[in-house]
Amino acid sequence: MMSEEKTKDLLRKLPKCLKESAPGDLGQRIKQQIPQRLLPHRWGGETVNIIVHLRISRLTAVAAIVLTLVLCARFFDANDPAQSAGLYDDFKVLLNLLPGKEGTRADVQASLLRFQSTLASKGYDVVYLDNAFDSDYAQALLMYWKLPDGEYNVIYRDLRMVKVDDEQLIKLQSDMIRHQRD
Amino acid sequence: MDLVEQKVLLEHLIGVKDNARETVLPEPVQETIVSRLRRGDRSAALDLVDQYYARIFLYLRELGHSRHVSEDLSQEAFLRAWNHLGQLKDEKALNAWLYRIASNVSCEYWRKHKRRENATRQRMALQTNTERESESSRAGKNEQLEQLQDAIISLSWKLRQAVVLHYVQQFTIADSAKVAGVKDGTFKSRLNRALEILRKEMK
Repeated sequence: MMSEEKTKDLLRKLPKCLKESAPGDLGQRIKQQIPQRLLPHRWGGETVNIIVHLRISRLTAVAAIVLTLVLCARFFDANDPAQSAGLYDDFKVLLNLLPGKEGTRADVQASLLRFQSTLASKGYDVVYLDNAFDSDYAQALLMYWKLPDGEYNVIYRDLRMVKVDDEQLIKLQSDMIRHQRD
Repeated sequence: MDLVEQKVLLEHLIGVKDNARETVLPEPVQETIVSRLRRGDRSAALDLVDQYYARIFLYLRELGHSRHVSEDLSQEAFLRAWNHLGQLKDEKALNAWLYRIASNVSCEYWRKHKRRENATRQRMALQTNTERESESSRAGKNEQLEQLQDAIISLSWKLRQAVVLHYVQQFTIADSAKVAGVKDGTFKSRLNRALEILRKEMK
């Protein structure tokens, strides 16, 4: 068995005794592979690449990210009405991304019911007018709820959401009833 | 030029050559390259290749890959570097970042070719014309160094990496640990285990 000092001494001598050098054209070959456009920041792409490197398919990687985002959104969602509006916007975006885009009436109703329960669980008093689906009036009210500042968030038949005060809400309700009678 | 001048010049040249293996680029140059790379400047990538391709190639050779495989893996390492420029956040970490990518490429190669691993490990060629040495002492020294190289390339990948980074590439413990992606203590422990095995292998 060689002494520790002698082994270390030999190890230190080793790099000075190596005579190899890199092939002359290697640098040129590497340079030829440099992309024309270097992209230092590819948001999202990096995350997908990390998961792909874990031997998971690209589709599964994307699904994992979406699932994580949904869970985070649920976890961090607060009682703040602004965030409720954000949640609703996300819901609309997701609805548009569904296969077939339009979605069936049942899908939309089911999603709205889930949205209603989410709001209700946060203490909002939500009114859901299911029969507005049958109306051809674009400003028919599907859902509304009162915000802490006294105003209301209103969702129309065409899935737009606006903030109105109590007088505007009464006017919208009257317009809708008038339209139904006509 | 007289003999004394020749000797001074020779020593200077040897010193320069030896230092070139362990030189860490001056910080201002590194900073410039990193910030240019982060801006997506292609000429910075060309400079990076000029400064590092030979060192990365030799590092991969020192890890036991054949010349042919080391060429392929060097190219793979730089390709990965271009795709992961976003991870290069610390201005001072260019060296460790690039060596870490090369290490990952090497480790993945060994993992994929596990069965052929022992057959494909190759030691590097040694210098034959060491001055001021007799034929017999040079032969004996070379034999010992070859034995040492064989012992190094028969180590497990992690231990081999530890020895190559610290003793052959001459990185500090802290820098080597950064490249290996472990804490300093873990790296030292790997180094001690590797030394212990090498001592047993060397007669």
